[in-house]
Amino acid sequence: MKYADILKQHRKRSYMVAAVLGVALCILAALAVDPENPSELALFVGRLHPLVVHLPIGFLILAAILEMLSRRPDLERVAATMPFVLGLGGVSAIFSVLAGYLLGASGGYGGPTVEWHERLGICVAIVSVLTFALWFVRQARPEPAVQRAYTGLLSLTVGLLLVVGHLGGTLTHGEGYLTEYAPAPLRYAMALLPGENREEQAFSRPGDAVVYRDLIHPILATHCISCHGPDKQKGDLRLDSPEAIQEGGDSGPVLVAGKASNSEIIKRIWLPADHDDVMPPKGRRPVTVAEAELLRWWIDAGASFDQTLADVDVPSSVRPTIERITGPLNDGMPAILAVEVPPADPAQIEKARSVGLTVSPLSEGVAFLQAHATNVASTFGDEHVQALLPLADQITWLDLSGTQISDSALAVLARFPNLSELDLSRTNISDAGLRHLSDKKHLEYLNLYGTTVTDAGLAHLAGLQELRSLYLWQTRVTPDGLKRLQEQLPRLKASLGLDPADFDSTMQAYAAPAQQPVTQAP
Amino acid sequence: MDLQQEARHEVLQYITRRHFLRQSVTGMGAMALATLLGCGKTLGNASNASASLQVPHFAPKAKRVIFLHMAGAPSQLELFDYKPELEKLHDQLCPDSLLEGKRFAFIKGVPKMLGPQARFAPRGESGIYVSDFLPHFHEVVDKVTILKAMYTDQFNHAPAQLLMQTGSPRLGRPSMGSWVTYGLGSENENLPGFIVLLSGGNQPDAGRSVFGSGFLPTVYQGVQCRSHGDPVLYVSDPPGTDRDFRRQAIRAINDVNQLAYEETGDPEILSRIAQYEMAFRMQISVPEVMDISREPEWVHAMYGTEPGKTSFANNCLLARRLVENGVRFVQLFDWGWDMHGTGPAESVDTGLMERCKLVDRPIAALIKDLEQRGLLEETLIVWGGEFGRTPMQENRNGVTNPFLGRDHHSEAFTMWMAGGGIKQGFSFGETDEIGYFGIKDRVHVHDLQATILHQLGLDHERLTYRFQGRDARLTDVSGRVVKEILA
Repeated sequence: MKYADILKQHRKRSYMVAAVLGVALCILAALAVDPENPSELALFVGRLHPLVVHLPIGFLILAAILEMLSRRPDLERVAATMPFVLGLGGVSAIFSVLAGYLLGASGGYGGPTVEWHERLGICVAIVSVLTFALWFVRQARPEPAVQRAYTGLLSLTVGLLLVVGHLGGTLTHGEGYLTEYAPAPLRYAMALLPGENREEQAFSRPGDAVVYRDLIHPILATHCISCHGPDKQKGDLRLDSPEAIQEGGDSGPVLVAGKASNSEIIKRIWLPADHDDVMPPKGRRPVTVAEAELLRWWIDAGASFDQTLADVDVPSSVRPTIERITGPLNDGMPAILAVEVPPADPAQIEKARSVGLTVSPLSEGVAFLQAHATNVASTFGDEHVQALLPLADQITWLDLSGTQISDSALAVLARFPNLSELDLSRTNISDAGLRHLSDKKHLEYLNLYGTTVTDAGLAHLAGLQELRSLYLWQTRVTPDGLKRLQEQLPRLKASLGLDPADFDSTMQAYAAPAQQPVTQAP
Repeated sequence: MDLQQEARHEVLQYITRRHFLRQSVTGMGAMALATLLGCGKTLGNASNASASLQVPHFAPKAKRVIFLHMAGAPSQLELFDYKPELEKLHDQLCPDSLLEGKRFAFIKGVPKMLGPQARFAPRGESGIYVSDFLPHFHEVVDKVTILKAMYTDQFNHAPAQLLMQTGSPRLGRPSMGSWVTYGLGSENENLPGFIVLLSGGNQPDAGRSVFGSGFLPTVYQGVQCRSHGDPVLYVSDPPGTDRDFRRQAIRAINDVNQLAYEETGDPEILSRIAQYEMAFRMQISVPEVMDISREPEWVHAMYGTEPGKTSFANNCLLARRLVENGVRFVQLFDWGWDMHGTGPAESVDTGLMERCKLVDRPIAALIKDLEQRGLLEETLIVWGGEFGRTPMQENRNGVTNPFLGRDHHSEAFTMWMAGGGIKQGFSFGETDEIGYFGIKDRVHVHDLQATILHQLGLDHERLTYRFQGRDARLTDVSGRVVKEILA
């Protein structure tokens, strides 16, 4: 078949297409007389929008594919279908725009995403009709300039179509629906599109995460805010800000702080999937069980908008869900746990126990050990400390109070890099021994009460930046000596204890005149 | 048939097939029943229960607990919860709106409001209000967290004490100290992990069940020690018996018990063996640790202790000595805080003030003494009663009581905690203008229990024991760790 014949044939068809187009325009224009109070028919047509939009998407993309194929010499004939496909694309785009306009006018929509969707949708309709027209121009005058204009216009149509389609998808499924599981580079690229502005995580430690902002809001953003947010306000409800959540909607308050089971949002989520009132509505992506549990926990805990994770109790039912978002929660656990050590040799633990030491893990799943000599204090001496040496890396809490150890035991302890709590009270250690503690960079607690330590010994502790508790009762340390140490370690809390000599005065304070009741018996 | 024949006949009866089958079936049934009743789980792990070292769920902040239970329930309105508004309402009839739907232990009809009977002022650097009934407590107020909006479910002593100590108002459940020693074991193998000291002349209203082990193996029950006479009843040797002989006797008894255990598999026999062993060791260790007479004079001056007597002060000093020796849970009960206004000693003005004098100095001394020894930050101290008292004056049988008193009240009361990773100089919770209801940051008894376990490194939802077909726990099905008060 020759081009001229194809043209002749299609010219007739294009009249037909133009006619259909005109009729559709008239009907829709008639329907859209009163956008404030649309007729039922208008609402019906409006709701066809989500269905009809897929037609221009299909036709126009097909047109682009056909155009590319027709450039191959052996597939030239494909070009014959182009006007038909382009025409249908244009007509369906116009119809989609008009249906979309009616849907938008039916209420519940607003905000930048809707506005851009609308504007760009109209552009798609216009550009696709222009492309359709240009196809005929190109057939009549196949010059390079026209060819380029035609190709450019078709590309523009498809490009706009993708953007509009994405915005429409965002309105329906919620922000981030498409990119949630996308590979990271793609996710980053998509984030530059309008309507995609996910906030970066604004916390450095898990405990700093704000429960509402970092855990609850993202769930609402994924499942609820597309219909109850800036773009749509179904049921006159918005869930995109604390104020709006507290305000509630047509069905009353959204939540009752402290009582999840009385809260509308929880009730709606747990309705059977085919119930009319279930939220998110039938057919939408449902809230996962883990997310629902998180919401329930948040409301039961008082639905606070500013509490951080550190402020609240995290029960085991929601802990895995939260940790997947924030990383492991440590709940103010000892800083030493950040250090990694290999597990201790069980045989060595048994060996240490055989000299009467009590050795046990700090907690479940932790390689660090605590050890104390309470049960053998009266016989435990310097020679026994050697038994702990194979556990030097793992022992972090060590209580040797009341034992018979002296400075030579501290020389052994010098080889324990991870000591964080050390109790040497009521032992025979002295200033000379403290030298061995001078590089204990994890040491937080040191108990020296009841030893012969003096101000000179404290000088060895000046470099212990993590030290926060130091007990010096019944030692020879003076208040001045302690003050000098505290100047170097401002975080240190130290106690010199009570002076027994003060006690008589305290006693007298109690013998002060008896208090009289304020109000008398009737 | 002569006697010989009859005996042979008897023997033959034992080995008939029918007899064998009957016996076997009974045995099978018993075994099945034992499994159903949940005995199986404890087999083999109770043997070393007393000295065992279980591992905490997470790194603990507190290693030990001292629980100071003021049995009878002290009035929060005279001690910690300052209500100037209630003073203005003093002697006015209570409005009906406060009485509707309420149940009281004794109040009948319409009682009068009763203003605070103590003077209040902000104390310490934290400025927490404490009344002048507790002058020594002012010195340590910057070390404690005050929980002002505690509430409970019970308004009678025995069930409320059970709820506080066992998590349930009914008998039969393990006490907090038992749960803790079950979860963590004991640090000192010569002393029980859970020791109870009583003062005030009476046992707690709920009896020994408040420190019982319930359905946990009995090795975990609280051991009551006394500060005069034998510290622990029935462990000293009878006259003429030396320690070696005692050792031999106990070994023989334990061997027999071990045989019985191997035959029946009853875990309580292992408890029994452990208790004999413990009692033998306690003969030496307990008198030593319970002997406060060797404490220096100034310590007695600080605590107000008198060796050889039974007093709350002595018990406080003992508590320090016990935690110093690695006892996991020390439970003090001081009876006599039930100020109904039925007599001068039961009045919320003079009666309560006198009662406070007996505990105020030793409590302040205990906190200071633990601190200077470096023990306060790893020892959790908890103070409180089982419930609170009404802002109304009690009118038993509709007649105003002869002295100023307050009735039981479950909706609002004050407790405090110190040490063991709890905030210092902090007040948590708020009650309404007359101290009738908590209006902010309320803490239920189960929440308190969850928090205590949490500080010991135990997850209250994971510290369980299978009993009657389900995993029972101290906080039953509720409880929330009060994170807000953790340092």
